[in-house]
This record gives sequence, C-alpha cells and structure tokens, in this order.
Amino acid sequence: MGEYEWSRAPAEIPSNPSPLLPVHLCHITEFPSWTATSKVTQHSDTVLRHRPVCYFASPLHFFLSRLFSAFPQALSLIFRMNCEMGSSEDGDRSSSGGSSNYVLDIYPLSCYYFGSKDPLLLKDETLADRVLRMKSNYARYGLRTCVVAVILVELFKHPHLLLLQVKNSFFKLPGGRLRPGESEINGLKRKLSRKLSVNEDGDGSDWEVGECLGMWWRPDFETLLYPYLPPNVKNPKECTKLFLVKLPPSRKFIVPKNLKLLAIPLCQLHENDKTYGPIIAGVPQLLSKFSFNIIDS
Amino acid sequence: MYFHRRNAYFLSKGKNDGGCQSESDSTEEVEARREMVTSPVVNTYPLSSYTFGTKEPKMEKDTSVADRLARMKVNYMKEGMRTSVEAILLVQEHNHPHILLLQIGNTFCKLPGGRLKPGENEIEGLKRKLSSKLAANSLALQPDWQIGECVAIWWRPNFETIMYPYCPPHITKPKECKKLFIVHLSEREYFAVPKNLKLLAVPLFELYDNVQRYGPVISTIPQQLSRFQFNMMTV
Repeated sequence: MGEYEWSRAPAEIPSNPSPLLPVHLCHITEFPSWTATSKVTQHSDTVLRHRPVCYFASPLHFFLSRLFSAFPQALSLIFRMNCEMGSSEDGDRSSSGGSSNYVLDIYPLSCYYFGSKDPLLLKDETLADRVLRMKSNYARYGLRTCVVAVILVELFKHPHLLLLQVKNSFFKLPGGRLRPGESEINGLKRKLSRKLSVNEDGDGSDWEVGECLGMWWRPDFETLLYPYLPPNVKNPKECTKLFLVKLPPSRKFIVPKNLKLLAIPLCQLHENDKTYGPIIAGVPQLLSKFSFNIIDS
Repeated sequence: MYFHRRNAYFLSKGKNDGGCQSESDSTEEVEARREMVTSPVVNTYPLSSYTFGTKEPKMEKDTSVADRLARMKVNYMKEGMRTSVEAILLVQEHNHPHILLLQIGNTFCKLPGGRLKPGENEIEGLKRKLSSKLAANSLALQPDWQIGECVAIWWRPNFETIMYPYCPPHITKPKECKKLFIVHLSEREYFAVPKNLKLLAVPLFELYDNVQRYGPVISTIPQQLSRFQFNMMTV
C-alpha cells in the first residue's frame, strides 16, 4: 500500500486540464493506507466529511500517481467549487424556453458507504461453453433479457458512473439476466440487491428504478450487440436494457469480495469503447439530455 | 411460453398497432408486462408516403470550417453561448428506421436545424428552422411540425469542432449547446428541399459506429433512439 502526498493547490485552473480518472472505491474490511487523518486534514471537511470510509484505494498506486502528477488542479477545484459553478455560468448553460426538463439529482460520493460481503459465485467458463449455455437457455425460455442499472454519483463536480469490475479485467454495469416471467423492474431490483446490497433476496424496496435509457440487441449467439434490431432479424437472442437508478442522499453499498466497485467519470467513458465496450462507453450519450443537479449538503 | 413473442412488439407492422398481444397470455405474463417500463412510441411511415419537391437554393453562410468557427466567435462576443436545435425525422423502409439528413456537396451531412435567435424558445426555433430548410414557401403547404422529446444534448467547450455529450469538467463557459429533438411526422407530408442540398434517408445500421462518415453526433443517434418503440406503419 503506497503513500502519497496531496499537492498544494496552484493559483489558477489551466484552460485544458487533464481528464478525470477512475476512482476505485475500497471496502471497509480493508483498511486503506490513508484515512481522514494527518495527510488529508486540509481537505477532510470537503472531501471526507468526517466519515471513516475512504474513496480512493491506495493499492492503485498507478491511478493516484497519475491523478496527482497530471491533475493536481483537482484539489483547487474542491476549494473553488462554489465560485466557479456560480450563477453566471448557469445563465450561460441554461436554455431559453427549455422543453427538455430532465433534471437528475446526484449526490457526492462522500455521502455513500462501501463495505464487502462474501464473494459471488461467478460462472468460470470458456466462450464456447457460454454460447452453449445461452443456446440451451434460449431453447427453453426464448429471448434472454438482461437489465442493467446506470447509477451516478458526483465527484469533482462531474458525474461518475458506478461500475463493477470482474477479475481486474472487464467492466459491467450492475444487473443481470431476468428469470422467466420476471418483470424488468423487479428483476433489476433483485440483481442490484444481490450485487450491491446486503439482502440477497430482499424486497428490493430500497432501489428506485427510473426510465429506460437504451436497449441493445444481440441478433445471434455469437454476434455483437447493436442499439437497434438489425433488419431481417426476426428472432434476436438477447436484449439488454439500461435503466436509470436514482440514489437516495445516502446509502450503504455492500459488494461481494470478488468484485470491485468503481466510480468512473463520464469524460473517461466517452468514446472509450476499447476499455469499456460499446454499451458502457455509450452511457454518457444516453445521459446527455439530463442536467445534473449536484446536491451538496 | 416464448418470450420473444412478448418482446417482438418493438417492430410491429400494421396500422396503428400499438403493441403485440398474444392470444394465450398467462396471468404471469400479463402481470409482468404491466410491470414493464413502457417505451415511448414513434410511428414511422414509409418514404413513399411523403412527397419531395424542390425550392430555391439555401447557401451555407460559411465556406470553410475556419470561417464557421470565426463567425461563431463573433456571435459569442455579441450574444453569449450559441444554442442550436436539430431535428431527428424518421421514416421507415424495409421495416427499419431511417433518418432524414441534408447533404451539402458530396460528403458533409447534417441534421435539419440551426441556431436559435437570442431568447427564442427551443420548440418555436426548431419549427422555424425546419420550415426554412424543408418546407415549401407557400403558406398552404406548411407542415404542422410535431416536436417530440429531446434525445441528446452536445456541448462545445471551445471554438473548435469537437463536441461532447456532457459539459466537460472545468468548462464554465461552453461556446455552444446543441439539442437534438425527435420530430413525429404524420402520415403525409410535403417537403421542399433547397436545390443545392440533397435529402437522404439513412438507415440506423448505416449510422451506427460510422463516426468517420457522419461525425460523433449523428453516428450515435441509433443509441439515443434505442429505447423507443418504432411502429412500422404501412400505407
């Protein structure tokens, strides 16, 4: 676990600062190398809010070293949040005669708690096995519908998307496959409770599922996903639906030990199909019509 | 119990057919469908249902990208951030949604729309731009533009061509905000296209993942529309 230093905030924000980088949310069980004590006292009021849980896991030495070498200005932002994002800019950015009234309340990352629970059993199979499994499921139940959640928090005045990372490799949105006959909303709540909460089969009443943001179709078992049903495809094999899930001002996330939960800034996802795949990299566009209301208690 | 039947309503053919109803639905299925999040519906008609005429040319105000950005700067100094509105007009061919694009010259494609006047309402402004680009000049033939919901917003942080689907962090004074609206066409319309422009109907599958040809705003429209249910109407 490495140590690092907060650099002193410079006087000015440059015109082209580096992009924000992903934030790795640590688990309560692992005591991170830095907490709300000596090294971060100058920021404890704004960033850590006196909570014992930290947001940045220092094992990611790389991220932090990059974060602070390339982007020390992040800190000055924390201090300048109030004046820069003031009303004059709101005037510039608000539309005249707005018909697009999609406003989304998002809360700072610091409002949320992160803990861990027993690992989730993940299907460890080859691609060929997976295709066989999907084929047999299709034969029994028909179209496979997956529902996934787009969950947002705020950090550095920019919306961040919560993503799960499996085995340090691929990223996925929290969610999963529906059971036969299950409704989309109930299914999504069930999956979210399983992946992000204590209750495996709880009543799911603590998740607020909003509108459907987009859908992706898989025409055949081995093909890619498309954001439309390709012409002449009568029997698609899979449909993935993305739903907006609104968070309350505070909640506890309990994540299986073998999954990592990350908060990725939208600017990092945009056009980054290579790292995140087309569905996740396309989330910023699906969210573009929303105006984010950052609620800073 | 086949689930593809339930989800096949996404591409249903027929007049005013709101969705697919299977004859023998179990109570479970009916219950589950009620709990489904209903998608907003867009009726799309075949290209043949519309009439396309021509009208006098409408020249672009700028002859090059550099000119365009320079004019943008001048306008910004006078009026502040530019708000532009653009329309996604959909038709169907071969049961697949197509978007109407205006082609300038041989390559550059754009959505019908343009810049709002200072203080102008978005919906009124979009109707004005649509009439200017696509409607015949005679008052009798003005379409009644049905402007639907906003599907995407793009931001231009600097006087450069690059735009983002969010206002980038640390950008407090974006130079342009571009809003895309879906426009619901009725069964019959008469369009008049300026002589110097071509009107194309481009299928979604051609736009998807085709940034080089159509740019990031237009090539990502399929994703923005993926949550809609398209009724492929026939005439």
